[in-house]
Amino acid sequence: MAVLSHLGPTRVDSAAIVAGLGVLCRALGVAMLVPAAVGFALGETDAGAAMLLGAAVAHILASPLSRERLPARLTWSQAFTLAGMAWFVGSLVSAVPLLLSGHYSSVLQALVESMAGLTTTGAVFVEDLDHMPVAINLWRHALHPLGAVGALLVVATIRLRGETLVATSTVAEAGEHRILPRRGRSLRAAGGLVLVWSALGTLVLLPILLALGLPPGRAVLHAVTLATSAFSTGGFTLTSASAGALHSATVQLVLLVLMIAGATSMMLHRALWARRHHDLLRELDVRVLAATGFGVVLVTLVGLVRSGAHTGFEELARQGVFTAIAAHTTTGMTATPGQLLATGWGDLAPAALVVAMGIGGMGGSIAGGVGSLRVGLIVKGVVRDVRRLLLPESALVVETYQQARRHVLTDQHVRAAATILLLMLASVFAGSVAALATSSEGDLPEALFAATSAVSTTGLSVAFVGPESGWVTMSTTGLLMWFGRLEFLAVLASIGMVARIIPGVGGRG
Amino acid sequence: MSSDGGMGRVPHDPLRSRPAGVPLWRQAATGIGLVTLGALAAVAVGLAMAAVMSWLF
Repeated sequence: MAVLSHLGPTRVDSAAIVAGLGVLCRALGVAMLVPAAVGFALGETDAGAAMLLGAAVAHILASPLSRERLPARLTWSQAFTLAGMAWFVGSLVSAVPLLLSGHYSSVLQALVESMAGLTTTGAVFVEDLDHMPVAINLWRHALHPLGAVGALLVVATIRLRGETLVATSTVAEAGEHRILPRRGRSLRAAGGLVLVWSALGTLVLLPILLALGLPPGRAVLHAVTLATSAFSTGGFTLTSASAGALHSATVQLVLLVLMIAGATSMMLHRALWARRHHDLLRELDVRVLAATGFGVVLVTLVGLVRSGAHTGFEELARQGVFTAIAAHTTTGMTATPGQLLATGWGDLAPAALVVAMGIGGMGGSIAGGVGSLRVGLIVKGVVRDVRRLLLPESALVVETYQQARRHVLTDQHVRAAATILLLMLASVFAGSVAALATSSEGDLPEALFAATSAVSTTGLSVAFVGPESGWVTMSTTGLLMWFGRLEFLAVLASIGMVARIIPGVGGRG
Repeated sequence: MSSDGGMGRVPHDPLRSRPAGVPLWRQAATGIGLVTLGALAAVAVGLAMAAVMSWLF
């Protein structure tokens, strides 16, 4: 035990994490100035002032934290812990202008909405969204791309250096892989991807929205927020009617492309930019996502026609296909009201959506969920074990998979993937029990739907989750989103780090 | 044993591997174009399924 006590965080670790949080607060403070300016320009003085106050609070918080210097290169454990803390501290700071807007009746409500934004979940806790000032709504939407850049930064700096993209639960091997790359290159790669796709989506959506008859200002606002929300696999929209508000199949088609692009792994994006697409169809991620996507859409459509909810082509396409893909990419946009999902869609279609949300997008993408890569690895692990049973003992059974290059499937890969799956299942169970125990509305299937939606960072809602939720359900949802975004272990590591730092302030020198 | 089952780690950095001599805008256009095509193909399959379902029922 005496030896273990010396393995805690060092003074250098604490300083790096504190400095990282300082940079985050300062960046959020600067970002708040944009909606503040928009608010004043539109004559929304109160909203602009709320944003300015939020920016001031962020800078005041950043000042003591910024006394420490952020190193050019972080170690694995520093980055891991910083990632875990960043989403919580970032949500706290981002919640300040939301709370000041008057659209949230408690600190917890504003905090969970902020967490839903930064984790790219998109669950809605705001009251009277349709009358929210533009400046505050713009800030709410800005949380999605900020969270998306953060998620890709985690992929670029931590996960690409470890055991490929199997799991953040797999600690990197010793040596060069314990030291992470310079953060500037990772930030450019992550930020560039989000910026380019969001800008392109905006440019495509804008003429469509103008053609639909929206006033130019409103069209620009809708185009920017829809494009960033869809590519970030977030799900926030300007109005409570979500993607259905615009009544346009063309808009939905563009959103689908953006959602799928957001659920595509960063490695695949980069490989395609570099014209390395020869082995594209052999990538395990691509194959699993294609297979599960086909299955989920098929079962959703069968469920819809069996329940009689929708039978015509246009309804099946615009409600069924759209919602199924939005669930699978963990975006959570829908053209169907949540209550109709719960009561009018029967049992089979919502069950397919739960599976879709649970699987999520590709490993190393903005999307949440278990990840198609991990699902593929677990399936391959099962196949390998069955083959071992069937073949003679002397036979050497080797299973491989393609992910940028050919990998030999090891027990470590399967264990890491199964660990995340088990943690996801356990948290869905815990979240469902918490919701059922503290709320009189909804039943077990709806509780499972809500918990899966939160932990997979999807944000589709049928019951339990909303501005009227009790504090237990609300805080459980917030925790599930936080845990799900960071795949549990980064959050647990940061909690462990805080627990170790507090008794001995400063740690070792 | 290394992560690739003892076959020897192959250094790989997806963020660094960009083809030399190709302008960035062309790389971006290729990447975005291919992802868009893939996404449209996936949506087309979904729409085909919806068409079959509405025809069957």
